[in-house]
Amino acid sequence: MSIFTHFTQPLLRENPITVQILGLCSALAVSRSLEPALIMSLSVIAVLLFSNLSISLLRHIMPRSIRLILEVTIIASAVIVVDELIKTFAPDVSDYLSVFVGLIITNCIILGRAETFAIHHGPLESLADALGNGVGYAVILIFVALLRELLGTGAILDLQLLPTIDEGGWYRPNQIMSYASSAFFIIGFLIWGIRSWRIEQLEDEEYPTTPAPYRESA
Amino acid sequence: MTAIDESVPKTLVVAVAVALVCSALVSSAVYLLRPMQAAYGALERNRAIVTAAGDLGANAGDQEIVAAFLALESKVFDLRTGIQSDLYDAHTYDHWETKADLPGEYVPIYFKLDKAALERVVLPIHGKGMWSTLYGYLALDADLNTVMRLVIYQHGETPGIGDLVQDPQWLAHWRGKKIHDDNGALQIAVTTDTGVPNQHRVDSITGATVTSKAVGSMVRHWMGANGYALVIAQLKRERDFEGESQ
Repeated sequence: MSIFTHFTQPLLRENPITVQILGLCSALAVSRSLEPALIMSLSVIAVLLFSNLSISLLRHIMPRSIRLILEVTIIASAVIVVDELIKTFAPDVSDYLSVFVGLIITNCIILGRAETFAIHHGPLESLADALGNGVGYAVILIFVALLRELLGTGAILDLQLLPTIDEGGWYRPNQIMSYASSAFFIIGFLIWGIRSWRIEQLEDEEYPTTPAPYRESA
Repeated sequence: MTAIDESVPKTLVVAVAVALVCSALVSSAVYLLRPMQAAYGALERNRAIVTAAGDLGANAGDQEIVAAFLALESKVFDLRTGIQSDLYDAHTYDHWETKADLPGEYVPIYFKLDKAALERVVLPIHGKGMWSTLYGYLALDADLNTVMRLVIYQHGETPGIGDLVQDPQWLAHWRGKKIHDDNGALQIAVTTDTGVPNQHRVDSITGATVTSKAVGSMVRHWMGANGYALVIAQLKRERDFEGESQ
């Protein structure tokens, strides 16, 4: 596979959220409006790039017995640096994101890419893979955040697109969009939609479905 | 893939090297960024004080906040004597950050004046919450007994639960509450007990009972003998004296 496919593969075909169903926790929590979603996406991309690159560079000298500890150390350091940067340059967003930046350490996408990709591939391929997965995560997060912010407040960033009733317009903001549950529905519909279009993404049944017993007796 | 040396010395060397590089990275980032964060912290403190002192617009810019803060009259008082002190510049002195090397408990107090007449007093308060220390500002009316506004400026309570004490709707309930009754007894309380008269009672928050009650005991502590009692008595004397001389 070329470096370019390492980048494009995770965008849709192997998307970390809709196909691998990873990183959902933060996708539900920080997708209420666009600004935090953008900053969260950038943070995840930065951490992914750093961790994939350093783990790929160290892949020949990391003893297998302490491999996971080293990986988590590297990821945690990157997350702390990113967290401090956000606290300095976007303090308001930092208050809103609160624990979720720190929780990037446990975001399965990052350790997942380190373990399944960076440890077996060279630095360039690993960077391409990190960028692809990061952008794949960002695309979904930003799509959900756009939808939630627009339907939840009628505005995107500071631009009032749908004039709300409170301000004399016609749009009544949909309250459920400000709760994390709405992100759950949106991502659910998104996965359904993508899998109806790309049938190859459908997973096989893990267990055969047996007909309900009461039907047999009837 | 070449076989990796799994010997104990090699493992130790790699572990130590990675740990050292990572810690250098983290500490240099923190070292470089802390001064910039401190500047933002000072701005946030000013915002809290100005908000307590009056009605600052929600979209006020940084410069407006600083200007409004500098427009407030401010003095440092010694809590133990209730007497004003000139040892510190009240506009820059932060008693939460500075460890006082002088005897006494020095606290900056901010005054909003309307043509030389006192309009509001802003008192810094802090106290123990459920997990963390709560920091806030309590603004009193010119009668030094009516709460005009309470601002919770900093806390480390549970996100989404304890931070309900920062909810503007709950904080708005404090407005107009009387701290002491007519006999001078400390009455203000955060409670669900309807036996406490409405003018002294603020309901605790369902779901954040411990933290909201902690806010109540914090306010009671600072309004009591171990808090601002002496300072408030002094301020009342000054106010009455000026009232007579006019």
